Amino acid sequence: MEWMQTCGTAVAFIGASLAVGMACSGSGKGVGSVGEVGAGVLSEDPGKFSSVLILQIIPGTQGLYGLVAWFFALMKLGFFSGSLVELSIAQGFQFFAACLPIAIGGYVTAIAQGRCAAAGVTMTAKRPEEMSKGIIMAIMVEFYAILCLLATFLMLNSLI
Amino acid sequence: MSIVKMKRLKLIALNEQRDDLLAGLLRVGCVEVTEPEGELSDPEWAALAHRDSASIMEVKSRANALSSALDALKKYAPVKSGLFELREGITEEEFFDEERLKKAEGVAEKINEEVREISQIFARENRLKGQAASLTPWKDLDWPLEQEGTTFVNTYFGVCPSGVDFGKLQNDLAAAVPEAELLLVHEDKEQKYLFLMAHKSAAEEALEALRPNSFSTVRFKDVKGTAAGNLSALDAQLKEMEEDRKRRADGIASYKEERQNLKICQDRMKQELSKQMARENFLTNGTVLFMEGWVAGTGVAKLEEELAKYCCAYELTDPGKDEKPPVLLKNPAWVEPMNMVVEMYSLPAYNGVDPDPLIWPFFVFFFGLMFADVGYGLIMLIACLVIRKKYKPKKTMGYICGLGILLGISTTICGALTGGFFGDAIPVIAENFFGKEIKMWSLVSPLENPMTILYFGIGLGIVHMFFGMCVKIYMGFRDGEAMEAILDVVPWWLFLGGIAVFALTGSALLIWIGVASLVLTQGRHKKGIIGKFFGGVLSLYDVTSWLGDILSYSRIMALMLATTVIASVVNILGSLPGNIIAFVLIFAFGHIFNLGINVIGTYVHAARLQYLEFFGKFYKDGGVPFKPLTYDTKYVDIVGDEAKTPASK
Repeated sequence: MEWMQTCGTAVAFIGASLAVGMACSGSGKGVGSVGEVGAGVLSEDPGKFSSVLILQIIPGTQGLYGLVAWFFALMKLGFFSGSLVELSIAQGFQFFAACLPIAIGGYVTAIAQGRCAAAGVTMTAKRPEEMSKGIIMAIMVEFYAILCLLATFLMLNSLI
Repeated sequence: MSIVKMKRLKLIALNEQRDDLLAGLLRVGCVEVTEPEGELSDPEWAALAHRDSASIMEVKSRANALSSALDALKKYAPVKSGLFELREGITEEEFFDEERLKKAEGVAEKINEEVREISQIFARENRLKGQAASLTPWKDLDWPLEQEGTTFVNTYFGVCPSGVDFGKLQNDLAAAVPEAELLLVHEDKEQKYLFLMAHKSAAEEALEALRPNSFSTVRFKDVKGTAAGNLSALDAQLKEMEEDRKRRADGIASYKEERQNLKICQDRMKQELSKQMARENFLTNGTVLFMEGWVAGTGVAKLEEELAKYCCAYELTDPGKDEKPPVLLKNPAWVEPMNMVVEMYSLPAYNGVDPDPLIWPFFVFFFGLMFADVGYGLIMLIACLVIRKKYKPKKTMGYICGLGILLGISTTICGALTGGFFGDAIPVIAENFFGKEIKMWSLVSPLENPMTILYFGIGLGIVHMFFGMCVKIYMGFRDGEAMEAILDVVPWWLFLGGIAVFALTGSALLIWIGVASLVLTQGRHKKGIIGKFFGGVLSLYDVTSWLGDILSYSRIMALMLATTVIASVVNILGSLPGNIIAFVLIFAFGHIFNLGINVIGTYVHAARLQYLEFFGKFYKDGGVPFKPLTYDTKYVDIVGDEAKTPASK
């Protein structure tokens, strides 16, 4: 059972991978769903491209947050400096747990934000002057992704 | 610093002075003409006067002609326009110059004529292109399309589906009718194009023999000569049309010098339209007219001065109890940008309070705390100052700039106190590129002492909410409902103060006094002793909403940390490659991203704390915005004669 003592690093890696993988999947879905609606709007009025684009990139931030968390975790593990830290299984799970907020929160909020932004695109099509409200409604969702990133960051920061 | 008092205006004037009067009201810009509802339903009034018939449709069609001419100019003579349009100053006299309008409408007429011609040419071109497409397959056949045969031979043009084998067709035909010949002219994805020659005596049989293979004949109406000849004629025609089209487009583009004039006149028509809309609410009997509306108290003197020029009678009265005057907020320039925050929620009711100065300190400070970075603050401040200096934006854009300056200053100051300059850019740069260790001075660092920030934020929130309740008491005293307001508020103060005392000294006495006073007072609107008692007890449940409100201020800490954390992650990412160019690139991209996403987020959350936690304590919303008849232009600014400086030209 000696491997049990040293596989902590691998567990931490799984956590970091989940953080970036799930957050990016969510962002992909979110950005994609806004794009679908946006393409329909653009077929009517190509001049709205810039407003559609702004709304479309909003759900993309969760993926970036996931990448930041992944990056931060790997840096803590010494992946980039070339001297990988060996963790006990308990430490590995601590890393894993620290990565979960942005993995789960990022995935779910990105999809929710995508739907909200898609509705905003529909609104922009009918009432271009109300676009700022569409953005604000989508940004309300962003707050929870930021909280998730914050939780992940604060936990990772205090590990090792 | 208040909601402007409104006066009800009732005016009777001569009908023949109507147009001058409308122009005068437009110039004064402080009268909102309202629907004469009461008068219209009164039979005595109805017998005397009727609604004025305004020429809205006519003005609209003239405005449309100008705007479609402008659209055409934009299409055929495009100009690069920046994010903000620089608005030229123009005097009233120049703006309402009839000659200018006549000239612009003439130009617009010519441009629109050309646009109509161009679209007709397009339609004709499409028709010809369709014809050409139907002739193209036959272009290799050297046989006039109208010719149906020679002395002894009948000829036919025909098609069959492309799936049919041509060799089989020929064999079938040869077997049935030896005196016939079939040629393959052309073949495309859908069809084979065939030419059939047959001796007159056997023509019918030849057609009959081919029919089972889905062969059908084709005739060309009104076409003479070979396909190739026709095609080249069509080509020549099309080329000519295209040139004609281009010539006309150039003709439109040659009017580009008139663009500014057209814009001015389009603005002018917008004013005419609003005059006509106001006129629709006039009542008239042919010789005199009657109108009523709201006048902003600040503009009464100006209005009386203007009305003295006309033969008219008017009265100004205070609004009645059951009337709902429109709402106009009047504040000094540095408070005015708050209108943007308030309007996004809802204007206060006419008998409410002006929230602009009340939320000003909290909004600005909360935003600064949540953003808290010298670098970001300075970027906002400088960007807004530059835009304001260069473009002098009005209305919403002007508010955004004004707000940006305030928030930029606040963010810079809070950033200096928390030691943030693009996150931890200075220590990171010093360590990575100069090998020195620098520690930023800070009163309190969000990353090292997040709990201090949390307590501070929540403390600030409690002050915020208590202030809201003080406003409620003030409103109660002002409206003669002081007792109501005090009973609503003071028991909660006892209770919440009791919690604070308990936390500090361990004495729960004040809490119990608070609970008792809540139970005794909060049910006072219920019927019967038991109802009152249970109403009071139930009000204790509101403790949860108070708790929620207070905890809501923890977002101050969360957002401050978020800005700092993302900024410092950007700095770490940038310093990893150890290369100055990569650092600059990652630094620029990352911080622009962080600034962009967090500016909107922070704005929304600073506003939310006003809307839910603060307004919830006292705000009466539902005001209708005051929409006076006034100059509302898109392209130019109407200025007084003396204000027209060469710089604004």
